[in-house]
Amino acid sequence: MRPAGLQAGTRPAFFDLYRIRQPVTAVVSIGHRVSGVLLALVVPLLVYLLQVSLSGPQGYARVGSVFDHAWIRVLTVLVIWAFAHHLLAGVRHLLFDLHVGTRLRQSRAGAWIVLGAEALIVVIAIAGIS
Amino acid sequence: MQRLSALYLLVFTLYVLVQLATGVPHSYEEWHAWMAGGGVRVAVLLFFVALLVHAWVGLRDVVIDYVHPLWARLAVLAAIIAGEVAIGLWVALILVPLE
Repeated sequence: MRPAGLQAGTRPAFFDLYRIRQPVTAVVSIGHRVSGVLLALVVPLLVYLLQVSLSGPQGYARVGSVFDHAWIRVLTVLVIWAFAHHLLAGVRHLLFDLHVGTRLRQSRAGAWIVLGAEALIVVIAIAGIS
Repeated sequence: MQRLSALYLLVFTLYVLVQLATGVPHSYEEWHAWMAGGGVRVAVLLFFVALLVHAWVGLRDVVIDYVHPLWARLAVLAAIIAGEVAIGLWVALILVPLE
């Protein structure tokens, strides 16, 4: 019995999202994209903070007090995650260019190292900021 | 280009982490003096150049993958270029006149 909406001769479709398991390398790959877009989006915010912090002693103090807001701290942790993931996954890619870690098992191990290291960094960031 | 900018961003990040580990600026005066120093200022300007180039290449690849109608793709890419150029000029206006 074919699920509704699928016709004979079309490519097989498997849409049970809870049963689709992406390999760890795919998780790191999509994370690289998501984190990259997020980082690009916060660049204007970063430049604005830089400008205010250099505008004078009051501006400098204002940038420091921005972190009193809980949602800014949440955003900061998110940005630290994005930065850690993007940097570590990026280093993994640069190593590929040098033909390091390109075999399947090493590539998977590298992906796990990226995820483990970024988890550690996020935990340290949360501990440091709260 | 993506690799070259990535390498600079990586080296700059490591430099900043070492700086943070050896001493955080504790006042506006310290922070301002550090940023205004010739070497740091040039390094930060180069950081933003590398960052904007890197973001442009990355965002372009993402847009090409997900935005298919030609007019929409060109519009989004043009908006990204305009945004990146504006950010670059903004950074230059902040850092160049610093005393």
